[in-house]
Amino acid sequence: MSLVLDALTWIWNNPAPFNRALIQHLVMSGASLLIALAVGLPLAVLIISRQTLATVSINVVNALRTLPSLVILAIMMPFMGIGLAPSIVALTILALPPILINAYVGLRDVDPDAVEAATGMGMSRSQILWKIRVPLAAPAMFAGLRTAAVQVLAGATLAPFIGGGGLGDFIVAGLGIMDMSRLLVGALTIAVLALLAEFILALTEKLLFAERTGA
Amino acid sequence: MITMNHVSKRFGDGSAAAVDDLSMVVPDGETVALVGPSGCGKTTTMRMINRLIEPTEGRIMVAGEDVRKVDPVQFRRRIGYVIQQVGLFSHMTIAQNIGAVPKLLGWDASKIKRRNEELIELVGLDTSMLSRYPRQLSGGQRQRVGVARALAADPPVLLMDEPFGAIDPIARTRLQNEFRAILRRVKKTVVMVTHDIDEAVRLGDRIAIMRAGKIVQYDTPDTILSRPVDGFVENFVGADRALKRLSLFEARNVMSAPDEAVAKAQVSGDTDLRDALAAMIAADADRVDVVDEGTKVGTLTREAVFAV
Repeated sequence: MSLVLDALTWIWNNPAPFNRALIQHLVMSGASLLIALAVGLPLAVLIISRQTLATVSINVVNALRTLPSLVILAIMMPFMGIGLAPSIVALTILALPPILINAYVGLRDVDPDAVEAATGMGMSRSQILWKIRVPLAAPAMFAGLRTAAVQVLAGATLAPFIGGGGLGDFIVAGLGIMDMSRLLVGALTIAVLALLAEFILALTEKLLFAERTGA
Repeated sequence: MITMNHVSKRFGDGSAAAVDDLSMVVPDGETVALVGPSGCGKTTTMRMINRLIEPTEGRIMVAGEDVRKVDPVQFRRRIGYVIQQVGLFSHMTIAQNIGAVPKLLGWDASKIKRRNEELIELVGLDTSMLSRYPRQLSGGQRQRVGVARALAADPPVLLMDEPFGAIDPIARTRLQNEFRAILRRVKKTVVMVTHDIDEAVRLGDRIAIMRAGKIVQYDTPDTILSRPVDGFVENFVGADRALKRLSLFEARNVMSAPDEAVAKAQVSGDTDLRDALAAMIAADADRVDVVDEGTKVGTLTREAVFAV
């Protein structure tokens, strides 16, 4: 317990470096999530009615998913050097699979009877997409965001390896000088962030979709 | 009026015709039930009317218009469509579900609201249902909403695919009777697909019995049940066709003037003859009194029942 206390004392005494690392971590994660959403959701809509493109995209993204986070970060360095930008790109690649796959499966597996009824009552293809498919797939899309958010917050821990900064800096520094309390400053904060993100997003999901699913 | 003229449908070149040179006329304001075993082409026939399936050959006219010459999306907004699994939109309230077509047609909000209230009452539900979501309703309630949604923009034509198939038998009969009453009030031209001959007899003004993509017999329920054209139809309508036929008639239309004697059993005027005969058998009597609102209005004899 004294190690945890030491870690908290360190944060209390060094607010500036701690806040800088925390903000870096959040900016890096938030930016990559936003980019992944901006790419993944339109891509899911685009491929839903194009079978070949869908197969290719899903396979590529599934292949990306098998790569360890550290490998994705490492691959970025020869192309983009070090710093925040390559970290964001790497984290975006990490966030893309859950967002795209969830959105695609959600759009594809929408209740076929609802689509049949919508077609029969005279909705056009685009009306069926925007008024029926997208809203019905929204919970699946949100679940994808939830998975991606937790993965990115955790993945960002590895950003120090390519100079991306963030809370992982404390872990790397702590390991370097064998200071366990410094290591905990990073590790505990990241754990709390991940749990908090999961909790807040789960609550938001419940609030957004409770009415239609509740009895 | 719906006219089908030598209509055929093949799914894929060289395959057997799902619908084979079919011609039929559905007069305005009548309900036609397409019945037959699975795979007989009844659903394909119905789905060609609103162009969910395009015919391979032949011509289909709805209200004087060749359906191939109209924009299918606009055209479908003038045709009510009810399917077995209802297909309510689970992310929308009941009000939004019923108001879907009026909204597509650009009605203003207050008109849609008035129409929603009118329809929810027509199908026998409380207006408080309008703010609920489909998940919160029972299967029977959802099916009623499905009917209300199909009637929303007051389309002259209604297509129904096994509309009561997913409902338990007791609620189904009640819903069928209510639906028949609704149809009498709204006067629609209805094409209904079912595999249930009882449903066809209960709801259809005419019944088309189909086999292998062709219509075997197209007649009133009375004629189908009393004079089936061949063994297939006879088999399909069942060995109890004489009893089924009795259910087409009401006691008040067959009874004679009330006599002095008091019979051992009573039925009301709207009881069908099948149930009236059952009442006679149960009471071991050869006649029943027909009583409406406490007054004896007639006598129904076994001879009269057998004579219809």
